[in-house]
Amino acid sequence: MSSLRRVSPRTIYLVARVHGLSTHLFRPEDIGSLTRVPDLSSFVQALLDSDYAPALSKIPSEEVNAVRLTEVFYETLADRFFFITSTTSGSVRRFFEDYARRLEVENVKRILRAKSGGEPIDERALVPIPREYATVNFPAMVSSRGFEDCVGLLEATIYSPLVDRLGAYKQLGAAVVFEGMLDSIYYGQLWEEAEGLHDGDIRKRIGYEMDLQNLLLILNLKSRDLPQDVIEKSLIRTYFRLSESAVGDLVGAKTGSIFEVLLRTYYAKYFSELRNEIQNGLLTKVEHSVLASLYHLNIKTMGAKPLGLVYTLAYLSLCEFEERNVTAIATGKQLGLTDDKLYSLLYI
Amino acid sequence: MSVAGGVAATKGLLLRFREQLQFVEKGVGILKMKRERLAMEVNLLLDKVKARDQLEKEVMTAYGSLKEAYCALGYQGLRTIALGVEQAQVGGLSYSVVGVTVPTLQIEKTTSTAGIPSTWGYEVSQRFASLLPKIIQLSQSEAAIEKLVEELKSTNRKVSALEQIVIPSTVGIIQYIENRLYEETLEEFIRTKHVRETIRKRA
Repeated sequence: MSSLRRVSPRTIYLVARVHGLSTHLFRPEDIGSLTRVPDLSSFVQALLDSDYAPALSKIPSEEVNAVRLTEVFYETLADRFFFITSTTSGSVRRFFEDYARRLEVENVKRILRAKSGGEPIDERALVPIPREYATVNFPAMVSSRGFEDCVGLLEATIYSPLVDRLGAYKQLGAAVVFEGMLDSIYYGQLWEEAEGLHDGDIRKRIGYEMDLQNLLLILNLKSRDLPQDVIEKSLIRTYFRLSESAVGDLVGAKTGSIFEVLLRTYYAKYFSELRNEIQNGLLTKVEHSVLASLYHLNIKTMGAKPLGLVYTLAYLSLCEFEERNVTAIATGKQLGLTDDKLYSLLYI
Repeated sequence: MSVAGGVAATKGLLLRFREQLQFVEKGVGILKMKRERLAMEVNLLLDKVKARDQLEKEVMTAYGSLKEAYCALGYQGLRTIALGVEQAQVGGLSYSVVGVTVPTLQIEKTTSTAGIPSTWGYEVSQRFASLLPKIIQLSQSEAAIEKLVEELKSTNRKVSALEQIVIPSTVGIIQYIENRLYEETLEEFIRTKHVRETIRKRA
């Protein structure tokens, strides 16, 4: 009860709602069962008892495929995110609005990728974001003539620093660097809002995510033999438990010794079992393992902090993991992946 | 002059058929040389085509990674990554092997994979980018084999036709003309002898 007294009534209301909402999420054993369904139509049948049912019921049966299902999953994810935002106010609302901006960032990335390749893109390729929460004019970006015009449309948004970095992007021609800059802007903003909440658990959860994203990005860019300064420019500028010197050591480390350098960081436990994967450049496995650790961290957080605001944050993160899991199952079933292979791609 | 089997038995024709036989025999020799060269080229290319099994395995592995990337990123996620990748450019040229035009492909512009976002996208693109030169090499060899074998078959048919039909029939005609000319010479000789005897009796 003492911990409850320190929490505002609005937060208590929010957390109570999220306790209810979290029961709608698939548990690991549910995901395991979904993996074993024989085909896509059985998978859709199984989803009709879940939060996805309203959107799924709108799809004519002959149009059901992994692509349409993925759109439904994104739609449901966006609904879940913005429902939380709509039930909050003040600094908590600002924080969750900023957290939900990751969907907007994903859309900006998708549009910029297509524009940089000179290819057309339509709004169906984007995560549906309600107009009132979007800070970017997506229809204008989609119909813009080229990459520069498209980036120019970000000038009046929080992503305006990208406009200044257009020259650097042109020089390097590497989308990964540009996307790194976008992530840096996103996490910078989110970190500011998290600091404003004065909630150590929230800071810790966001901080872990930022640091792990940075570590994965360093491993990823190191494997591509990109120059040190390019890697540094691509990183998220804010560090939580990583020090500037640790990041510098990692960026400057030789490929063969990067594992040892990683073990000297605060996040050694996330990488300690991944020596072979890191040394053999199997970075998708490394990424999967680290993200799976984050998934388990969310579950642990929900168990340990059932009354804190971090419970809501962990719930939203689990919503994202669920979206990834159901997308993987739908796509895997359509492509005929074996259950074992599919299972290895899931976060459970 | 006598006409038999559609061939007029004259000395001029005999000379022409003998010349023709010589020409055909020389042609057969050249065609056999061409056949050997073509067979040699095909044999050399066959060694390169042996890599197909291995390449098929690599392609299957790459498609396996592509499926996994689809699962991990979703259709639109992966598609938008692919949209940002500049496409490789392949140009077509040709070269000649004993008169046979063989197509050849050349990568004019490679795909730059270093800037591809997402670990999954990068891994898949790496696999396919490394396969592209091998696939081009193999398809080029297979196309060349197809063209060369077609020419080899045609050359074989020509050699057989010349050896089995044209040469024996020309030899036959030459023999026929020679026999006819011999018979005509003999007839002429007997006729002359008979005329001489008649003249001598009158005298």
